Amino acid sequence: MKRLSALLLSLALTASLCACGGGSAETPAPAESKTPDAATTESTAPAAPAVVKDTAILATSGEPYRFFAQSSSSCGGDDNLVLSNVYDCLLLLEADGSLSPALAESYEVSEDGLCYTFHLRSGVKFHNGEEMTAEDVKFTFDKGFEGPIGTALFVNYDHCDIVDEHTVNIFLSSPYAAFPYGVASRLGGIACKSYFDEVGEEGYMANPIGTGPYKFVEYVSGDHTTLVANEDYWRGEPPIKNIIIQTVADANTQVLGLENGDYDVIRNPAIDVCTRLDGVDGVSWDCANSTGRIVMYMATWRGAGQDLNFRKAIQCAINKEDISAAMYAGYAEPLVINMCPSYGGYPTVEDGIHVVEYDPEAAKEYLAQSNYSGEDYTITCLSGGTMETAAKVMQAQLMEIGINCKVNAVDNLSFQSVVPEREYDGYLVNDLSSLVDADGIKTHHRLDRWPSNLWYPRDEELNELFQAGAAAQGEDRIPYYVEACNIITDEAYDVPLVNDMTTVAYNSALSGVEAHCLGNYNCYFWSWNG
Amino acid sequence: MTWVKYALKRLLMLIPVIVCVTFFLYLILSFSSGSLARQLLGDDATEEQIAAKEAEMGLDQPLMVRYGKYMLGVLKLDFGKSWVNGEDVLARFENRLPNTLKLSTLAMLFAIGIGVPLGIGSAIKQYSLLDYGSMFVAMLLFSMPSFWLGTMCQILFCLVLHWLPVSGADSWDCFILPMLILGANTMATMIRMSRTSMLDVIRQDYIRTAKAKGASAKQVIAHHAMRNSLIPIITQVGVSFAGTIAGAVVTENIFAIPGVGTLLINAVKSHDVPVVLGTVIFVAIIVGVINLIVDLFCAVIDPRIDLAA
Repeated sequence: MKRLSALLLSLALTASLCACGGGSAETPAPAESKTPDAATTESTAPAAPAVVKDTAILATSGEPYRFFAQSSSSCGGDDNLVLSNVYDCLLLLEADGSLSPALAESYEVSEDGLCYTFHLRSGVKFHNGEEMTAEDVKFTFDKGFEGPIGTALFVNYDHCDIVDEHTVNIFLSSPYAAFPYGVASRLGGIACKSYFDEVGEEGYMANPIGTGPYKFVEYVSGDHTTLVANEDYWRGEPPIKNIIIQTVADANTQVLGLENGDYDVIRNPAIDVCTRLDGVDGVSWDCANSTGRIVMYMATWRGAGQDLNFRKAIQCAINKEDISAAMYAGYAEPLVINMCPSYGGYPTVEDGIHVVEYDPEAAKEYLAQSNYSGEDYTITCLSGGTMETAAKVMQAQLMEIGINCKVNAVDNLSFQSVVPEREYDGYLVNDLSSLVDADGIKTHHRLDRWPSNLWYPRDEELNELFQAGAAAQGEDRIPYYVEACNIITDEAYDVPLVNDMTTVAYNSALSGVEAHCLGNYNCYFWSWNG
Repeated sequence: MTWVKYALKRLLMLIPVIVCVTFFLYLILSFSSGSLARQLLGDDATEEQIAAKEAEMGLDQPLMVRYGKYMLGVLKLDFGKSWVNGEDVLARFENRLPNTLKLSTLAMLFAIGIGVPLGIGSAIKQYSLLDYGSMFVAMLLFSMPSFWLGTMCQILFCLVLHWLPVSGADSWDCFILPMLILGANTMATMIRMSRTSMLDVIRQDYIRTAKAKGASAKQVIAHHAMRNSLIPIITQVGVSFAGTIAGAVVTENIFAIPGVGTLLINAVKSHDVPVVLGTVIFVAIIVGVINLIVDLFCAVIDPRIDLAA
């Protein structure tokens, strides 16, 4: 009996080990060393497709379901998978964060920065065959500004005047340097006014039309969304006829599906998953700095954080390289201020920003000078992902200098309630900025957001600087942001950690797939090799 | 007509169960912190926009009023609309149910088709190679978590052997691996249950009597033991089948099958109250009906079961 059991157990273990090793047995090539600057890798022997495919399947864990950005239902990053392919904006946000002409062939800004004149491309048609005109642009901006994300993306929008059929003047209530990024955002996808008048908001949401490279075909809740190429697209017909956006909740299944050829592109896989794909035949991946900052905001209104020396101790105790290693396998760039280097108006060390270096000894000294007496210091973060990992690394680093740190990892809904209710000691968050601009820094200091704002003692002063920085143009913005950043650093209101990253893994036979700073997927630029 | 009365009685008993379950769910979901309206509209929504959204969702009313209105709607077969994407709850459930029923039925057929003969065989040939082998398989399948087994099978059958797709629900071969994974645990239960049940029966006096009267081993098993040993197995089939209707979350998640399990778990995660409640009501009805069918079937097999009592 013992021999029989041993035999069966051995067989089972052998089968299990074969199964585990199966995927890597064919991929012995060591991982190439890679920097985020040159992040695209290709396997040495990409598998050539036997038949030219006309479909690409994009696997995503988050499901898009809001297909009319200007609606009262808002829209988010998941929805942008569809929005960025069905709609076109006046300007296109490229993968590296730069802007290029799209539905607007060109634009000018008035000297006072209050009027943007857009010259529209003529002959551009919506998916229902109607021509896109200035009236549609005015409708999009008026309707979009009324919606829940209007003030965030069409900042300072006042009104839109139609000059002629292909020219509009967009007026702002006060100058805002980052306004063109709002124009290129998900909210700026030009919608068809006459179609909206015909079908209403619900009808538009259910069957959206735009001028984009792909037409909406169907949405099957919990399963997939299908898009088909717009043959009359103004840039020319897209090389790939069908795009299927497949909802696949499990990250392992996404990767296995990519390796197996079930999916062609997987959205934002974890970077350690990407590095494991190095050397896998027929699979490539790409990563890029996103426009998100991983930051810990420190409460100054409760607990030990009321003491400046305590907050400074935390600033000095955090080793950002460790955070980068834990969250992004070392690919992420540590931040020196609460801004990504890609932001317009970003001030550098040469401009005079203050930098806090990792220095555990200095941290211990600050802690000794503080009133800290061993009470719990709790870092609140989202549970279950890289943010929780980062929080645990920080916990270890803070405990090393003698701070009794705890991690409170919560679900998404609870996490969102933490800020308005101000119930945190440290709040670890990925602050995304769709506007790719220095103005993104104001998120936790702005006065116009929650009624209970004006939390930090110098928020009023900071807001004046933010407003001046946002209103100025070009290099004139820098001094304002230098001063604001130095106040935040010197008062130790936050600990900027690392630049967030976006990733994409894809079938090597696909060309044109790249990681986009906002996580957009512009499928028009994809094509099958051969 | 006894069974009709019995069925009606059982179906009526579902009503208080559904009321209790939905009320407690409503209560629990109302305790969650945070504003769902803010989560849906984003941080930049104004207080007015959030208030309007909350009014649209009915969150500006007291809990009992909301619950009462919801239940009144249910009586009119209006299960409301999803708070997240505005879809009709009934339509969403109808879309998801076929996949779940297909998966659950296949898994049960697999589990019963292999598990019951193996269990009965190992009882008849107790302490044989078949008995040890099937018990080993049962223990193994029972101990392996489905997320691990699922991933291992995906690697083996999809990546290494290239026999099957990794995920999906659009062709019959997509269901083979999920069927094996979902059915594995139930099969283990079936093996153990049918072995125990058959062992109990073949030790009974009437089996010894049948043998003493000269009946062959086959006759004894087929005519005397089998029918009696099936009662607990059928009950277990009912319980397991009901469990797979809403309990296939892990399998559906791993294999990206849009089914009831994933619908429910996603709705719970996003605090989509109408979808949670609607799904729970449907599942409760399905489970109730399955249990009823099982009970009726048991009564058919065993005439000693008196439905009137």
